[in-house]
Amino acid sequence: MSARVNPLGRAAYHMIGTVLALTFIAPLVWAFLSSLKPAAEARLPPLPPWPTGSVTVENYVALDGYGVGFWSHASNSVIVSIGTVVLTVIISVLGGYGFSRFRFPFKSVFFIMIISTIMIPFQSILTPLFLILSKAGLQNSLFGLVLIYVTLQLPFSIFMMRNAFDAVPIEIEEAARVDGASVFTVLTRVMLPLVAPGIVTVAIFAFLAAWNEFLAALIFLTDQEKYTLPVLIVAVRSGRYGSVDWGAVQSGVTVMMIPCVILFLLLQRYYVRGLTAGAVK
Amino acid sequence: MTPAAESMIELRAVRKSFGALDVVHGIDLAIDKGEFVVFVGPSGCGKSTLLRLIAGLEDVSDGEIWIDGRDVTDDDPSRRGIAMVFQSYALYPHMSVKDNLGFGLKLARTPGEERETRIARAARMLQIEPLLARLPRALSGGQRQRVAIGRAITRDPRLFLFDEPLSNLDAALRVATRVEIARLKESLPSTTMIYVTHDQTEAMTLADRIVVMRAGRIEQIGSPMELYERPANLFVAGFIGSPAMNILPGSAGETPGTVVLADGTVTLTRRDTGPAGTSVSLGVRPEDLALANGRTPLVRGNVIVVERLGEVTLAHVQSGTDSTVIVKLPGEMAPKRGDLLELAAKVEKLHVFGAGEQARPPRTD
Repeated sequence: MSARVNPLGRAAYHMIGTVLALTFIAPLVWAFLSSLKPAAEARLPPLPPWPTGSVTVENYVALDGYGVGFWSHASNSVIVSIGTVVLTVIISVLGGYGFSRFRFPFKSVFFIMIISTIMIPFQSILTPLFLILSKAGLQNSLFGLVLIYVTLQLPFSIFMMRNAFDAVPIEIEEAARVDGASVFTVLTRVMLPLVAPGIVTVAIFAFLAAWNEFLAALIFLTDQEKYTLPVLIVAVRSGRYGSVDWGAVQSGVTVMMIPCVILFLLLQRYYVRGLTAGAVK
Repeated sequence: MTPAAESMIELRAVRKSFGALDVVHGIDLAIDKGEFVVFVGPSGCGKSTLLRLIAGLEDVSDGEIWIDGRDVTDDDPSRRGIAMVFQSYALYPHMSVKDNLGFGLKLARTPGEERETRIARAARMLQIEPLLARLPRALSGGQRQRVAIGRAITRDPRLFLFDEPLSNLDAALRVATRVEIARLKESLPSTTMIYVTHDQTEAMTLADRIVVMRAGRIEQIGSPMELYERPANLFVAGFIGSPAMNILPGSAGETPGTVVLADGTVTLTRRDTGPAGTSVSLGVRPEDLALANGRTPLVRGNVIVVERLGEVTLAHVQSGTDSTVIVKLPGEMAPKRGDLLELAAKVEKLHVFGAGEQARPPRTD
């Protein structure tokens, strides 16, 4: 920033930035603070947002009492999310590379078909999906759920990866081929590091989508022990005997936020670069 | 069938089309071991495509490519034993200069010690030793191009391909790098090099042999001086040499070897101009024209533009034949606009082009 910046403008800049930042972080902090209230206090109107009496972790302990225990639901969520990320990244890297670099008949038709599936609301195909999965014997299985999530993630991810590969000059790839690299080596040793921001973006989106998804998980999973965390939280909210255990809900929300926040903080540098890749060459 | 023993590269009826568009029309060419060959031509003439066909970065539509006695027509670029320098440098942005230099060796599983030696040798040769730890984005254009050349050298290739390597450099750097490439060629006498450019100066200064291309065909192959002194057709005559050769329309005269220009001037040449009356073009280079000083003038006209370049002065003369004639005069001469100049040239410096723009053969009488 230059030295001649107007101090008033600067103050306004920081003020607006602070207000925006607080607006965005407030609900997260609120949920976290509520989760530390004793169960009885958590049920009361939520002002002030912080615990007035004692600070307690009893809500977290209570959370573990729902379903078949917090950790087994968490591990379901982790399995589904990681599975979704891995499959999505592998398929979209290969697909994006193909769409970016190879000439084949009906290329743009295929690409438009893949992209246009973004426009189909996923709720409208739940029933056929359900029928397909049960025919394939994958209904009520975490792997089946992964397949659903990957399918839903792919259009955006392939689009993203194609743009990422498009942004890499073709000469770099040609130089590597002349240098003695096979097509596979070019992809793994030269191209992957160059499209890393795109991969990170695709991975973050896939992870967040799978981690937070509720409707499909609720419909395709019938056994309680296979529930993922979002389904568990709703089960907690419905509560025992009709009453809502707000403290447990807030603790569940807090716990679910943790991996998302960590992931985003670790990778945000790449993520921002990935979204803008290809915008300016 | 094997090619002649000393041929490093042999192209046999090589054709390339992109869809319905023919870019290279059946090219035959043999290049010797250790030769420095320059493909030159205007943009879109197919010279870069031909180079990419040799590299294997494009598939040929028809014909064969032989490198070092082996048919490589269907081989992947990685299996052709070549190195290539790209116009855009194409360095690996995520690798240090050293890793860029060593990448090809690593792929070839060259032992670490030898890799180090070769990288060090290339770095010393190109004076990029202080840059080895840097990433490409921290280099200037000239440094990047040197690294790109170094990357090709470390692999010790049989065949070195340059695709317009100087086009992205500024004028001063272009001259310096051109000299470096000439020195590189001297230090690697057994390496065959093919160099693509649209710049006739680069072609003239670097090449053992020049291949002039137009619209996917070879117009002429020869040493720089052969092309300069005996262009095979009007196109080559206009392309090689700067400023371009003056072309004066005319027809063959009654006396064998004479040309009658449009303004009635009759001049004798050393060429067989064909039957009287056939239309021919007379070519004369700006540097071959001089003030007539009593000789019969070939061109007579008023100066319309004067360009003083210091060492030489270029005068554009409006001749009587509707075409502007450029003459290269000594730098100290400064004709003014409107001055009448009478210009003459030695008879052996006159070129005659006949039907199909082809050069006419020498006179036999």
